Amino acid sequence: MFSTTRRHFLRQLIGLPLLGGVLAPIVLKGGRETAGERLLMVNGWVVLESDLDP
Amino acid sequence: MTIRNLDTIGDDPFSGNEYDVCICGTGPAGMTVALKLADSHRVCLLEAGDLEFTKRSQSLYEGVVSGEDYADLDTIRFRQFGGSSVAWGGTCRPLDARDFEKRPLVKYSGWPIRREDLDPYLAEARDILNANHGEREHCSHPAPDWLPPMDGYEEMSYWESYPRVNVGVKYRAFVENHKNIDCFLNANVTDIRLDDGLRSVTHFEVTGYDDRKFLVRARQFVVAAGGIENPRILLNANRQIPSGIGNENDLVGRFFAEHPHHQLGEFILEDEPKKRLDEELNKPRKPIELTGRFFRPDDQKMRDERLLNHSLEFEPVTTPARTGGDGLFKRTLRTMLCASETIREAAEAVKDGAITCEQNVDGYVTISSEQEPNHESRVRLADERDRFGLRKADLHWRHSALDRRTVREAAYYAASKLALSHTGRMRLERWLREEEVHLPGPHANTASIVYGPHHMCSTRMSDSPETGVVDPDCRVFSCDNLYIAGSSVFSTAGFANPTLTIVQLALRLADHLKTRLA
Repeated sequence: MFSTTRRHFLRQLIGLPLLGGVLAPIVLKGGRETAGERLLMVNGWVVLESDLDP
Repeated sequence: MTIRNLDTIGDDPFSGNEYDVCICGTGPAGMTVALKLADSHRVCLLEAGDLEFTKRSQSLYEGVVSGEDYADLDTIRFRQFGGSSVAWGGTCRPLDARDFEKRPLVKYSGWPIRREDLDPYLAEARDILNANHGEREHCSHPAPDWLPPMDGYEEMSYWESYPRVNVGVKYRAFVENHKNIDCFLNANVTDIRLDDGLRSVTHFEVTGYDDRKFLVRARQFVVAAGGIENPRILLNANRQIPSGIGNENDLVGRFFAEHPHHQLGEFILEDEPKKRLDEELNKPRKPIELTGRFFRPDDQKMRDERLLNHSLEFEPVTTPARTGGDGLFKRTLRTMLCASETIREAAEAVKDGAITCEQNVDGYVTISSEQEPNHESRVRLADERDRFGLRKADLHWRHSALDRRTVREAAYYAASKLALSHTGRMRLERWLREEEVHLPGPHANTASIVYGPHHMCSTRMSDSPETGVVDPDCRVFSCDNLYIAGSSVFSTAGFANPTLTIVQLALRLADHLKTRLA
């Protein structure tokens, strides 16, 4: 889990505050460990969909 | 019984001499063969350069790059006593047993020997390379670990040469003082002379920098000049056989392989794994302990997902910047600026330190991958000639679709594994996100390093002259007494750094030559 500070850092890294994010779902195998969590690619970062929740 | 400089020798030092073995090259391969044979046989050891770097020698390694983007050929190998070990990285690992096996997926895969044939030489090779510290073949990390279990991958490790070996330094006194070794510096092998039947070598022609030519006579001959120079020497020896020696089937120089070696991206960790990593990094470490964690695919993953062999490294950032360094404002500003890929790439291109986009992450993921044996990937002769009139090397390196696919799949595996296991998040390099992945070269604007430099398979070993240049004893198929030493004889490249295998093969070759000379 990310703490609030680290989560903020992640969101800065992937560019959400500046760019609003360019979302492009990527086709990846997986979901086995965390069923139901979707992987997205945002500015090159492979993140969980929940990372983008406000 | 000494090291002599051909520049300063007046008379013909080879006149009236017949050596048991004449070796061209003093790098890890040639030096090892000389070390092992000297106690029982007379050895002539030829080095094209001097004891130290000289421009006139090194410039003979200039060549042409016509295939994939690659570094200038005189910048990634060394023509001096000790060969390229003068700038060796020191990482050692034997090839995997499966690297020697035939795989249905990979045409031309399989060696005519097995790993068991090289295992008896492993301990001695590690001694020669100072890689006999840390008996850590398999890694184990106490739970809780900062990385998740990598299903489909096995963790593994490397041995480090420590102190890092330059064979020219380590064995100089041995060569200087051994009564059975005559070593000549600035002695360029410019031709290989055959007998009238074109089946045996009678002489190496040696040319000095003053253009004097000499003939060295021996019973057995070894070419050990590196993975680009070995085929170049054979192809340029075309006075008696126009296509070059050993090249009856147009295979000399073909199947050239490197280790595509790329930074795939960077990662940050979630809080708990980051805490565990910090704890691990704060433990005292020996100089030979690597901080990176290395994984290779298991047999089933390689088979099921149709991948080549490769090594994935998760390398933590260990500099102080990882935990801060700058003030909060500067750090935040940099993070936000660097979120723009355009700014990131500009910063990487400038590299003047004005903007550094690499400091806030927890680590990087890199790959070193096997290449598929590729008939079209080759060292050939350029039209341009060197000062001795020999045609320069033209490196026509190629990547295959399977090479590219292996790198891409490994990168996406690493990124998705980190996220789905709630370990961290990884940013993939831009070139990995293109619809059709092209592996970037050294002149591309990426953070990647792109090669070993490891030059392999260009005079490959095979059980048939239809598919290789040397037989399982490293003897050129069409020549009774000409042998090749070095990674140019690899049948396939694996992913492991090649020097340890080079030395194992050289020790095995020395044993074979002892039998031949008995």
